[in-house]
Amino acid sequence: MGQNKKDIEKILKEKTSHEFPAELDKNFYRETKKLSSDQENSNPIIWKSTLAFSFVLALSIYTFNYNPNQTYQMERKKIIDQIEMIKELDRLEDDSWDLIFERYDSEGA
Amino acid sequence: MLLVQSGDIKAFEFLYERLKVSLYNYIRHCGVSEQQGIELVQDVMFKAYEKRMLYRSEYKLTTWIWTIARNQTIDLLRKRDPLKFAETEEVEISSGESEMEVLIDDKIERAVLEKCFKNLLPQYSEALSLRVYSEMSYEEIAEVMNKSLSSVKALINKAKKALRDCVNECMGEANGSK
Repeated sequence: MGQNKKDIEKILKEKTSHEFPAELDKNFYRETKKLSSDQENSNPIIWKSTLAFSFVLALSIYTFNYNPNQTYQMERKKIIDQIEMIKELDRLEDDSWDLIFERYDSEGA
Repeated sequence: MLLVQSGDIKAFEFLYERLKVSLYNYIRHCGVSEQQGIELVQDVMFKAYEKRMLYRSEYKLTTWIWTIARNQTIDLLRKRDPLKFAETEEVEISSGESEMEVLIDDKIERAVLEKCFKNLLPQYSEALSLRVYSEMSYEEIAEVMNKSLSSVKALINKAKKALRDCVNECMGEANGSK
């Protein structure tokens, strides 16, 4: 009786393939659906985060540069200058007052 | 793969459809259960997606994915049976090893084939599974297994001969008992 001989690789593939489980497709596509949904949600999150970060950065730069003491010092110097000027005015002759006030107006305004 | 790298999910799903059956069969024939096979195929595909930016186009895409599949499968099998799947020494190679066609009776029953396949040494069944289910060339299999081309040819030839001898023995026993 003749035997039909075939290449062992072909026979292995024909006779030993496992039935493909439906659960694998179900699980896989469930995960890819999650991936797609995550991708769609991440875009608004990215630009909102960028906006928030820019705001915080701008605020930090402003806070770092703002120096209340500097304003206080400038005001204090102005007041002292004015007091000095008043003391000076007290010693001056009448016609020198106009000159002093002119100077005051140009600096103090 | 360029589309997959850009995050195109549809392209990734297309890749899965192309590879799923052969990946599943290869993994199952390395000796894992159905449930583990399902988990491993998913692990392989999602790992490939996760590492997609590491893929370089000078390598064949399927070779890259099969390498991930092989590594993941071996890791699982080693955890299950560390002694059986420990690194084995190189198979003895004769010079000029070439591909060999081994013929068996096509009336052979599935159960006999499965039993004989299971009895093969791990490195034989692994090499033969890659050859049968991935349909890769010997050169690509050598790349995936990180072995020389001669070693891969020798492994596959020895696997086929061992399988044939086992099958003939089983057939002989069956004929003798009739």
